[in-house]
Amino acid sequence: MAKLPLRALGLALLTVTICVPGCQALYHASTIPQALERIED
Amino acid sequence: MKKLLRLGRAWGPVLKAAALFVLPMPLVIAFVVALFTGEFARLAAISGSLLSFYGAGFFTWQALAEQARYYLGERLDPPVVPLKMVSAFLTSVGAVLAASAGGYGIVGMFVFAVLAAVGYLSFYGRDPERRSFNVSDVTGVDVGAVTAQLKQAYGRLQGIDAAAQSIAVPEFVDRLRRITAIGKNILEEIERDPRDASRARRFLNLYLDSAERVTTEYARTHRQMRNRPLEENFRNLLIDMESTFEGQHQKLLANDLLSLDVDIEVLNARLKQEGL
Repeated sequence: MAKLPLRALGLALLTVTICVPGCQALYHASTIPQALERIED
Repeated sequence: MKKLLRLGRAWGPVLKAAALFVLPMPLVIAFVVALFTGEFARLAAISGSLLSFYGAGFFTWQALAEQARYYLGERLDPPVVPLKMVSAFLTSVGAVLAASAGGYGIVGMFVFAVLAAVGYLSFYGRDPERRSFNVSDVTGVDVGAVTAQLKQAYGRLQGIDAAAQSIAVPEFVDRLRRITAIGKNILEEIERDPRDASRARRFLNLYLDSAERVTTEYARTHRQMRNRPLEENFRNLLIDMESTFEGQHQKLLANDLLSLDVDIEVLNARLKQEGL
């Protein structure tokens, strides 16, 4: 039976641990100015 | 042409370091946005995170390049500094800072750090192991040359072990493990009695090199795909390889027994001569 190669699992983990917080940071960085604009309005 | 292809195959994995430059792309965009919005705390966390990931990418590039040289026999020892461990640590730090910029709490940051280190080591593997050989001093044997041959052979065995990690068929992984274990026994035998190096010339110069080349090539082309006829061929090749390696090991052991027999005969003759 074929097993999931360790390297594929490693790449998946790296993608999740780098991209997910990166996207969250991007989301927060871009939503805070919008929120501030709304408060100013 | 063959040499070029082989170099390409060995150096191909070096490109894997690119993942550490490509995956942080969202952070690069977040950096630009934070720069314009003047969010300095987030900007600092994002900058630190990007520096850590790029630093890890740079050291990983170096580590993989030196590893390729080592497996090809172009350098006798792996680098003194465990570059992959340094990079795994930097990747962990980068993940912590990215998680902090993403608004995660302490627990979240810790989880990202652990998963990033595990992911790094699973994807890039660990640093090649350094092994020092203490070749016994025997008259008529160039200890330096034998040590160099042993180091080169050890590098090739580690190359086979590393390639085996990306093969998806457990049976092949087990067979390759057994083959490298026999190979290591042969090297220990040569280390103990360096005269064996000339007897194991074919093993050191031909078998090991071919074994490393075939395994790396199979691992490269069959990561996910399964092709029955090719699998059968590779299985037969591994069976042959194992019996050849075992045969070589037995030959060296038999030779030791033979020389022990001769030693005992000589000792007996000398004792008889001296009337003991």
